[in-house]
Amino acid sequence: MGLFRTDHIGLSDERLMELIVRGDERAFTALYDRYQRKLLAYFHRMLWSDRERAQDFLQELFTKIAQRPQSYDPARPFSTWLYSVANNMCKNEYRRVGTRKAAAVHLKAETDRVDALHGVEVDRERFRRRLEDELDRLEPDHKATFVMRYHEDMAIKEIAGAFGISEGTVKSRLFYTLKKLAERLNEFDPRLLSHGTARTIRP
Amino acid sequence: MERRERYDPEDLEHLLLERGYDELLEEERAFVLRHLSGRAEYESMRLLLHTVRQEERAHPPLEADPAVREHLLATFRAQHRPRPWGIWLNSVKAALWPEQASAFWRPALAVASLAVVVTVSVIGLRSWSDAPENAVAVVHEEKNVRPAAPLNEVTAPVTAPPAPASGAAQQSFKDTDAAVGTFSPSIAAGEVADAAELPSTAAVPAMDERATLQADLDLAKVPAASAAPIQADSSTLFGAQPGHVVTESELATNMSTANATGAVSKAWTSKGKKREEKERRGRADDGADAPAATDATAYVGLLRATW
Repeated sequence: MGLFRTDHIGLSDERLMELIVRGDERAFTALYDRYQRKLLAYFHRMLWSDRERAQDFLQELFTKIAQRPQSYDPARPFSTWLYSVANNMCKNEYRRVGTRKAAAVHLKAETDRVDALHGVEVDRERFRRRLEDELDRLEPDHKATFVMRYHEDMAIKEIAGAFGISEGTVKSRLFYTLKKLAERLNEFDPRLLSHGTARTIRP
Repeated sequence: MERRERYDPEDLEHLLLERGYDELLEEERAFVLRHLSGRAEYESMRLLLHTVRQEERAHPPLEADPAVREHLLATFRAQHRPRPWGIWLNSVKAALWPEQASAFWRPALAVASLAVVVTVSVIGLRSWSDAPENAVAVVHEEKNVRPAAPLNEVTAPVTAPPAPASGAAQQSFKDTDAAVGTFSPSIAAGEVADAAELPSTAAVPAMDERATLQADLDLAKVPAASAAPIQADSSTLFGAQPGHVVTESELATNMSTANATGAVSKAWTSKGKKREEKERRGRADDGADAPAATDATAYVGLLRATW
């Protein structure tokens, strides 16, 4: 029996999608295992570090794939298409929740997280929280570009494909986002943070 | 020649990740200073970038709840559960109503082919069922034929060779012949039954009276013995005409006149009728008294030829 089984682990994303369209459950499982961590982290970053909400979005995204796998365009790379769908879901959530509610959700999540820490980790956690705050203040597309590039390690070309923009635009977005964050986070000494001895630089 | 530098932030990102500000070459430093304010900004961006990447690596990866996976698999199974009727209906819909307009020729061709096959089948089936050898039972139309015996009994004694007669003689009797359905021995019983259109009940008494008047002249010269065996009943001739008995004189008049003129067989044809009608009009133009004289002469000649 095993001789005729397809090794789904080694198959490309596009090939797995072809099998999913035909109803191959193992292909669906393989694709889920391949992307669930990345997408959960992406949703977690994009949706105010709300784990439950990120999980709900992950489930919703793969439910779409399970119910309508034909909606995937084989002409596009699967990862590009997947992140574009995820990004659109986040944009819809931004519109739905609104700025005030988003800030409130974020604040509560951060409060719960900081309360669980102590000692040296507090400053590092404060830096993370501040970084995420500053990311939330950015334009959604700029934030998503930054997250995809520096958190998800996606290539410039992939990011450009997900947004449907040129690679030059992606590079420009990254440069100005990094520059803006550096200006806003200059109260922290990243060098000390990276060495584990967190210290806030006071103005 | 002046070298044109192009704006490439990815290169700047590469420099931020790989080299400190002091490690930059002169050209690279010039490139950096073209986009940044100075060393402080460069170092700040560089350390931020390193910190973000290190934090990402140090951060434990998030794992989705196993319930999410189970729920997704259940959804996938439910979605791809084989549904024969659904598959059949989808295939029918896709076959009859394709998504692309350019593919409509296929259902059109299929429907047209089906129509042709049905039409040919119906035609073939009908022709096959109409064949007599395939019929379970063949129904023949039974004509209302009079019994042959009385006719033979009647016709035998009065059979006479047809003699040529004048047109006047034919004319005098043709009305009666046509109305009554002239009986002739030369016509078979079946033919008489087929051809004779029986007169209506109102016309029969009038014809009988005329036939009686004509027979008065004939009976004066016809031997009574020869007429004796002739027995006929009007019910034999007219079937459903009750109450009228054909006398011997009537029958003899009809028979003799018809045989003499030989107009019996012709009287039934429409062509003969038309010709007689034409002749009658011609005679009417000649004069009113002429037909009467001609008729008398014709009767005498007719009777002589008969006897």
